[in-house]
Amino acid sequence: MTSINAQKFDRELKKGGAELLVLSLLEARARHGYELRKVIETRSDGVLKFNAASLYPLLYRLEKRGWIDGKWVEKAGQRRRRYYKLTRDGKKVLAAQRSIWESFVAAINRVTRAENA
Amino acid sequence: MPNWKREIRQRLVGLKLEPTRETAIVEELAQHLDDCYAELLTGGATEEEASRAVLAELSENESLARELRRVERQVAPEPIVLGINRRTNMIAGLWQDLRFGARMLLKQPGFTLIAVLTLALGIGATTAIFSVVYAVVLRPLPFGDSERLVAIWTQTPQTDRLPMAAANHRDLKSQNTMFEDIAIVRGTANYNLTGDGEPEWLQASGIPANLFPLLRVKPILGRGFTEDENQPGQDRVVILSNALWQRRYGGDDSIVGKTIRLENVAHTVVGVMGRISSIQRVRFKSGRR
Repeated sequence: MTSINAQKFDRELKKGGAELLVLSLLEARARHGYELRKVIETRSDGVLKFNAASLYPLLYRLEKRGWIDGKWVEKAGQRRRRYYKLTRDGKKVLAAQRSIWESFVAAINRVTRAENA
Repeated sequence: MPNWKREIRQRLVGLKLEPTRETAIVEELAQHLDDCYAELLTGGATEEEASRAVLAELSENESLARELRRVERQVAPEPIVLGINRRTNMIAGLWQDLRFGARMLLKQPGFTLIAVLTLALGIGATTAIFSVVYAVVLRPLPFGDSERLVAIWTQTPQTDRLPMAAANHRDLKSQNTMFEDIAIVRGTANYNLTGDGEPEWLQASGIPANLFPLLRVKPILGRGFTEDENQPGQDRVVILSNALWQRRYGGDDSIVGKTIRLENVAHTVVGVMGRISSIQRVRFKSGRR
């Protein structure tokens, strides 16, 4: 088994978690960047916060991989905004990441419960 | 409201992004910062507090430029140096453009389908028109030295094109200093072929002896017409088209010298033509000049 140091583990965890958050929120409908940030912040009761410097590079990275697709949309009475939606590939990745994440959380839970027992 | 776009641009300078890409990123991020700023003001922050907090969005934990550098493709402007062969770079740019084009087309299948159909129809129509133009105008005649062949018509004040009268042809030929030879061709006429099977309605053209040498064609069987056969009373000779020879006489090599009846008059077959596309449908009958 490959061992990773704590710093790298923390970075990969954050990165993987952030990707999963964005992909999950785009599963139901297309959203723009600011909306994604607000939903993440609201649903996590302020625990998870994205600033622009990390959110948009993440969106562009996911778009470059073909997992999400961004399009400028003009709606009546609103300013032009870039909406992101999940692509077919993105749906497959989301399903896989969800499964990995659930296994990961379950494993962590088992470990921490054992420590507490 | 502060000028977010300027702030963002300052942070992107070192990335050397493509101008259109940079503009898109600046616009999107500026909108985000506008929303953050408005939200902070609504929440009771002063303009200064709101502005400071919004700018922190760009560099709080991660630097915007550092994060974008990992994702965005950077454009390295190449110095223009006189005398340098830029072909390699042109090819690299072409490949990049092709990949970009392919990605854009795949992203919009509806547009791609319409574009492909439009192109297909356009190319198809152009090909069809060109085929007709080529066959009618451009394709060289199936004769030797065809670029040296010209058609001569008679022109009158009333009509641009009239077939040439025999007397005019004789004068033209006697005074000719320009052309290698001049042959007069009569229009096709209908003839009934009888006597050796089912009667058949044919078209034939009266031609002089010098026509085939002038066109650089020779019969594949037998011979062409002779000068004597241009004379009245000696012109009961014919050359069969390849199609008639194959269809009615089964490609019989011994047809030369045999007699066929045209308009119930006996004519001797003196030759058979090869397959020449433009004269497949016409039989040749010796004619007077």
